Amino acid sequence: MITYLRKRIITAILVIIVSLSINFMLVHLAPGNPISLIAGKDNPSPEMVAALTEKYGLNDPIYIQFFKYIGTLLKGDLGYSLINNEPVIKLIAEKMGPTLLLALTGLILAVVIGTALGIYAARHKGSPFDVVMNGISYLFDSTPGFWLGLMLILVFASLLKWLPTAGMVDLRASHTGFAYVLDVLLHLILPLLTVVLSQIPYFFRIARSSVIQVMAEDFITTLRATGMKEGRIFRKYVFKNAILPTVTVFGLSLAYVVAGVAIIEIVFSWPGTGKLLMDAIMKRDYPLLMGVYLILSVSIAVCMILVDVIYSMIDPRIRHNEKG
Amino acid sequence: MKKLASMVCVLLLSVGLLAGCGGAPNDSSAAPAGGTAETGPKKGGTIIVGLNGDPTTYNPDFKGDDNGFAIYQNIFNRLYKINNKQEIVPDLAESYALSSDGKELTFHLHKNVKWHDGKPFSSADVKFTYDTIIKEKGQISGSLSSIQEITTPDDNTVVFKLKQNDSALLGYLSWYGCFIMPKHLYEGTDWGTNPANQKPVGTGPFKFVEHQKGVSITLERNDEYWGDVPYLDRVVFSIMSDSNTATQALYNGQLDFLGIEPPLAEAERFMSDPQLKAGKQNWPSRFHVAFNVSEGPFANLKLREAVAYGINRDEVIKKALKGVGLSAKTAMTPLYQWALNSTDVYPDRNVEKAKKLMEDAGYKADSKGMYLTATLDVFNSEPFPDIATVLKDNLKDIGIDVKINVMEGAAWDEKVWNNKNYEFTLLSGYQGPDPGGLYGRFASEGTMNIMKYSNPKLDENLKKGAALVKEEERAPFYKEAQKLLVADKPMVPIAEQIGVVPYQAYIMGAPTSPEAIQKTGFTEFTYVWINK
Repeated sequence: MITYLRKRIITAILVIIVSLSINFMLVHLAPGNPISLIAGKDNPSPEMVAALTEKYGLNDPIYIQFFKYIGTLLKGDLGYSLINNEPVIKLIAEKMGPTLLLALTGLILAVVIGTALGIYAARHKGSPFDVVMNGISYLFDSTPGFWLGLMLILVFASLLKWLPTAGMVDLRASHTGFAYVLDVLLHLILPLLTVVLSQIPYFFRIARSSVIQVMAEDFITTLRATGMKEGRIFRKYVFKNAILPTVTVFGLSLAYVVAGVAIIEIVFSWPGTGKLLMDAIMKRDYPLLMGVYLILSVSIAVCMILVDVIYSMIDPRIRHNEKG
Repeated sequence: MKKLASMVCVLLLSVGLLAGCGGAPNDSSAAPAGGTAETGPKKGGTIIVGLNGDPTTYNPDFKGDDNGFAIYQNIFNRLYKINNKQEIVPDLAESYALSSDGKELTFHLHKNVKWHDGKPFSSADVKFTYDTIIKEKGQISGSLSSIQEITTPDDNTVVFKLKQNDSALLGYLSWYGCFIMPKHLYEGTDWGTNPANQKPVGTGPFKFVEHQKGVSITLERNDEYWGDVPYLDRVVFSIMSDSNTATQALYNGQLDFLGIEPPLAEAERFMSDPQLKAGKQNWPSRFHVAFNVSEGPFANLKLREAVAYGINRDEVIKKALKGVGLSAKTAMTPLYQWALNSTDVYPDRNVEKAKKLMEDAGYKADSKGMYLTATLDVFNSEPFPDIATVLKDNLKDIGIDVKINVMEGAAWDEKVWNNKNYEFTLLSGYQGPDPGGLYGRFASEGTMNIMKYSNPKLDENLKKGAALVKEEERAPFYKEAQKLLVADKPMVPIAEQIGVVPYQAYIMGAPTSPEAIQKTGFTEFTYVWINK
């Protein structure tokens, strides 16, 4: 297991380095540069532009800039945001909490609900429930998150007035303690619902198709022939086999969701990394963009390793293969 | 929202909209009955104002920050300020005097002004602020080139000694990036990283309380304010990045002022909803077509004239601007009426004349009736792509096949603004705070002249206009400059930009309302009170 982990960690580090290099090139080669935005368009003198370019080290060739960046990174420094004039790590840390709250809670709910619905549909394949759920899953899968979010606002905030429109707290009240927590939870409902509804289709379909697939295997037929009860067959044999793809997808989705909630955060004015990332892109804030990308690639790598570990715990074949 | 001839212009426009409203104090009002003028303003309460994003700094003069601008106006003061009627009115300075040769501009400051930390304010703060802006190349430093030296004969007097008279200077000192900063906190420090940039200390009507990143910025009333003390206890800016969400938040009562640039399609509802009032402002900013006059097809004057004859302004305003705009045919914003040339103006649409010009220019129509294919570069921010679509349709009628190239802001900046690598484009943008604003956009050396347009006669007229002191002496030069612009057509105006600023009907004394319009800056909440 240790050898296996070591191998996986080395691979993960390589993946991070490659993804950082590609990201660095992409953001620097995209048209536009942050100096125009810092200097403003009103009356920037050429000397001012030159001084700013020099100050931020943007007149070096790209590969020099890259090595300088890696150099500061190795010292544990993510750099200084050009637009915000603050350390990148501070900016990201300030906003990571709300993003994780939204993304993680959303994903866990989506896994549980999606998988449960998928299993139920698979065990009642062809039933009205299965047919309707299949249709709904395609509908939500093809609905853009920001649009779904706006529709939920229109229905639950504007029309029914049950929930707040946006934000994380009620700025007219100054809640503290338990009231504050309740207030945040109330504001969390709509963005969370958006994340959950957008993510459920994946888990629904994966659970449904893998359960159907496993149930069609010969060994299940054999078990049935022994007279074993369906419930027991499912719990003991089908579920364990069918859940493996869900674990893989969960790992992948986690990374996707942390990045993908950006647009949902913007729609709901949820104070996470979404707006930070969007502004960094629009304003070509290279250090901040690279910082966000680094955090994302590291979390994807960590998730993948965790998935592998969990996988090997659930599926003994993987452990045996690795040992061999 | 926030708009100069580019993304920055767009940004400024946002400020314009957010700040909104001047021109005529014509807030559509559906105010409920109750505490109006008879009972007088009520003290107390909190208002929630939408804001597009976190300000990146509270150093108000460091660099352009549209999110910060709305807040700076409440925390800081300027010497003079531009009110919502686009007039220059006193702020920290009670009055000013200009020497007869125009080379000495003297400001007399209010006495007994205190910083929010209790320290006394004096002329030394003013000198420090401007010396620092010039030395550190703050965002408006480019507009301060006429300043030779600033002196402080006493605590309440500041003298700007100028290299030559600069009639546009007072406007620049009243606008953006020129808030007076506390010398006692900034002297001897790096003004980009000073701790006060996160916890600002000003002289303004509201004091900074806290900034919760991504959530809100809270200000409270400055009870020791040297001017009219505000009514509100607190102003809270709520960060709402998405204009559709913010609009819903306004409808649902979560916001008191929308604060950010509204989706144009909602303008009609703002005007008709009895729960809301909508302030309007004619902004010295205009949507226009700008040509690359030094190369490409539009180097040919006849083609630019053809486009001028091809544009259907009313259609653009109706379809792309959803009715929020005024037809623009003069070469300068009509807001500076004293200098406006309303005789030499751009023509109305005339397809036959336009086609004739295309033929005179040597173009032949192909089988589809097209004389020419041209690329219109636009940035992807409302309403520019919509304007482009209407123009494409307009110009098809005169035989120009327009290819619309919608670009992300930063990419547009690089291609069009910096490299001037384009055929024609769409712009808006602030053309004030004085007719002198024409210089930056149209003079050969103007920093915003992306058209590569150069006419020595125009340069001369603009320089003379800025060098004189009295309006009646300056006006003929600006009128002549506008005549030259209409003749050369480096750009064709389409519509005057109008800002719509919606807010709840129970809000009184809004910056665009008759009670406050002449006294406050674009988004200053000194006179706001809650009528419920």
